[in-house]
Amino acid sequence: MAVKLPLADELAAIFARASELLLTDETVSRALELITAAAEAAVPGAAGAGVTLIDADGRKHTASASNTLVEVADARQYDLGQGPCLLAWASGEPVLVSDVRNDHRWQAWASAATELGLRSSVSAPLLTGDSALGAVKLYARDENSFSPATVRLLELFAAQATIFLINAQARESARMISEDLRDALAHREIIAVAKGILMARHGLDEDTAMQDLLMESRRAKRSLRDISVELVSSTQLPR
Amino acid sequence: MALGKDEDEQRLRFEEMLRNADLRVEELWLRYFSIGGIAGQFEVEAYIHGAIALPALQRDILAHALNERLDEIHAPDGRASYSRGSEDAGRLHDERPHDDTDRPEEDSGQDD
Repeated sequence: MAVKLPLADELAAIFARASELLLTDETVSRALELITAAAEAAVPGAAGAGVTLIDADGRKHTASASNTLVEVADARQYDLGQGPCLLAWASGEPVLVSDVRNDHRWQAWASAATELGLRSSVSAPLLTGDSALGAVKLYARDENSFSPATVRLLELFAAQATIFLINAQARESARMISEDLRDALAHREIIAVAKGILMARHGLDEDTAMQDLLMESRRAKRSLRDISVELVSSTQLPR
Repeated sequence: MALGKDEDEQRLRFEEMLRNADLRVEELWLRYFSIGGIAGQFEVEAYIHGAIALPALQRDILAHALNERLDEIHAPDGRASYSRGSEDAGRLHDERPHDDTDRPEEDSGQDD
């Protein structure tokens, strides 16, 4: 679930991670467990709650579940490739199922849920900007267990879970230094070395050395990088 | 924030040239950072909009980053300008190590 950050954000994320401003994966999964427990406790009649995460490649997994029934029900959705959580994720809209037996959107899922003794469910997508990270859901054993008010409540839990997930993603992105950043740093290094050579060679301060590099680049009509590479190789003695 | 006259001229010229460059602020900042600039992306953006001042050297590095881009796309007319100090200090130490030796005019007429 890597997010491509602009370079400045990427640097900020790296430093934030280094100074432990970003939450660890353990903290985030603990937060998801708490949200799952809170969602279940807040809604009378719920048989269980859970959080489904879906990565950029479409891989699905249950990141948190209040009991094994939820895990099994989720797994059936993933296996079948259909169900209310997958629809909520794909559409970006909450999905309310009043009674699976009368819901004709998913035949296979309806029989799987019925076998598990589940009748109703509500799923809310984990929305971030224009994409969805997965869904939070509640299952119930009785039909008509959930109302539009439950949908609204679950959307709030979903919003809360999303905040934790985005934080975890920033941490993940900061772990993988992008090619852009590596190139930029290598580029900077060459110029810094060239500056150092001018400083030592002519007894200059750093700013003056930089001004001189800029001047030479302009005079020679060549890029600062080319000028710097040349200066750096000029220190090598001929063999 | 009021900028000095030279600074303001340099900034306005920069803004004008940036429009020809077809370059997003993030891309400009990346180029600026890559050649040794030290101001953050937010500061660079604020400078472009005239909200804050940047030190002369940082302005020149930013101008240079933009100009290298304009060179790459063979943009026809004009380049971003450099600070006054940079134009005055336009000498290379390889060529003239002691620039305080050449002041021929000043002492003329004082000999007798």
